[in-house]
Amino acid sequence: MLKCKTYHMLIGLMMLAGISLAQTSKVQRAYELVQQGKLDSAKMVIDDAMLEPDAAKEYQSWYIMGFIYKEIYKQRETSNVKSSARDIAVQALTKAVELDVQKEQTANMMQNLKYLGSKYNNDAIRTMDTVNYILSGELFEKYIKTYKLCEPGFNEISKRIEYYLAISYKFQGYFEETNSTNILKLTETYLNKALAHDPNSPTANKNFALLYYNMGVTIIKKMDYDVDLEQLYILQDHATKLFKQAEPFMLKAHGISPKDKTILEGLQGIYYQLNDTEKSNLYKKKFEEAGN
Amino acid sequence: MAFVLPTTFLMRKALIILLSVFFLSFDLVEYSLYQKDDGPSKIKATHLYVFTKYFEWPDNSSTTFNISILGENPGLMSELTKLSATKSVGSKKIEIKNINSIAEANGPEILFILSDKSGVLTEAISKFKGKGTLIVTEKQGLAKVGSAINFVIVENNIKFELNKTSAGKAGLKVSSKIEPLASKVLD
Repeated sequence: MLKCKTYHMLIGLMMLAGISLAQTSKVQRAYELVQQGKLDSAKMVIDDAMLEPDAAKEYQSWYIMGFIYKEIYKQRETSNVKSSARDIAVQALTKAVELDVQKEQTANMMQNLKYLGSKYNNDAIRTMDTVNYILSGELFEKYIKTYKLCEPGFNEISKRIEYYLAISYKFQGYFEETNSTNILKLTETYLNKALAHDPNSPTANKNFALLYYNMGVTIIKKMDYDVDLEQLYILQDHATKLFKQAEPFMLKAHGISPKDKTILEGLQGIYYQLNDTEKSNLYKKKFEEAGN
Repeated sequence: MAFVLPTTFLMRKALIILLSVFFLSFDLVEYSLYQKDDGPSKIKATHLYVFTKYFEWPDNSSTTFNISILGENPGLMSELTKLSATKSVGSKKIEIKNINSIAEANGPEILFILSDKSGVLTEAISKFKGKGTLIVTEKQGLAKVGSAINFVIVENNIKFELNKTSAGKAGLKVSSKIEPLASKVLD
């Protein structure tokens, strides 16, 4: 027991070097409390300690604070996508990294940040729905910000495209179910965001094409056999406009990925629906030639 | 002086963190929503059914309304089969037949000659003259040759040309309401 106490005291002394006496005892106390699993007490003490300018100057204090809040998040708030403990932990750890100019503990702090960043990412995916999509975007931005700090080679653009494609895909599905104009607009917005980051993304172009293609198909599919001819022509014209809207996106995707069979199949389908047998057969042939 | 967390404590935490840093992936983006529906066949099948409201056939005692398709188009056959399961023409049940030659056509109310079988149009006109068969084709210029209805593509849409004389020669009465809907009317 004594050994353990001494050990903790030594550690405390080491970690608190350079911090004023009053502040030292508070940060050290917070550290001891978290080790004892007394998170609420540790939080109160560290919050109080961080009001002092001397503590706020030291990366160690921020590290302890970040660590305490990360533990609170981990033990109590992982199912809460709006966890404030996670936000505070990230802010504190980010500040700690900034102050740790000698890189004494940067690697460890980065590990903690990566953990929290990955949780933002996971929650951004979980909240990709019609109710929480704004929150999803906010969580994704937090993930990006955290990971940019942790990984110098982090490919932000690639991650953004993946995210926008994933959320647009989900909204495309919701649109198919509901036919809601608002959801369609959101789907288009996310696809446009993906294309804004990479106009040559074959998947973004293909998905844009399929969005319009499927809309056209759905119009005809839902048409009743009893429809009068005037209405039939209105519906057909509407569907044709959508197939034409799909065409340039699918052609662009084909230009980027000429061997992609799903794109070749898509072009075959678009031209078939447009009653352009010659072009439909051309892409059918290319599809068959593309092999497996 | 360096800030050091106790080694065992740190190692345990690091292990937990490493195990916890995982991502839900975005791999679903590679799937595409691609509906393989045959729109043109649905539109043609619907036309064939809707035409029954604009033409008048001579009275006959048959309890079925026969639509024969000359040539191969599985998509169209599928649509017509679906249609015939739920729709009727007056009190007559719709019967769909897929045939390969004019010889197989046994007095249908509608005979749809697909493009690859267009060569038999003249023979069909001759065979069904005055017998109440609406001959429908789908190749450029066949309304002039003598089909009563010819499907054409106008700006990527399926429309139809109407040959009133041919319909009359086939023994059918044509409603004037259909004329404004045709892309072209031949007298």
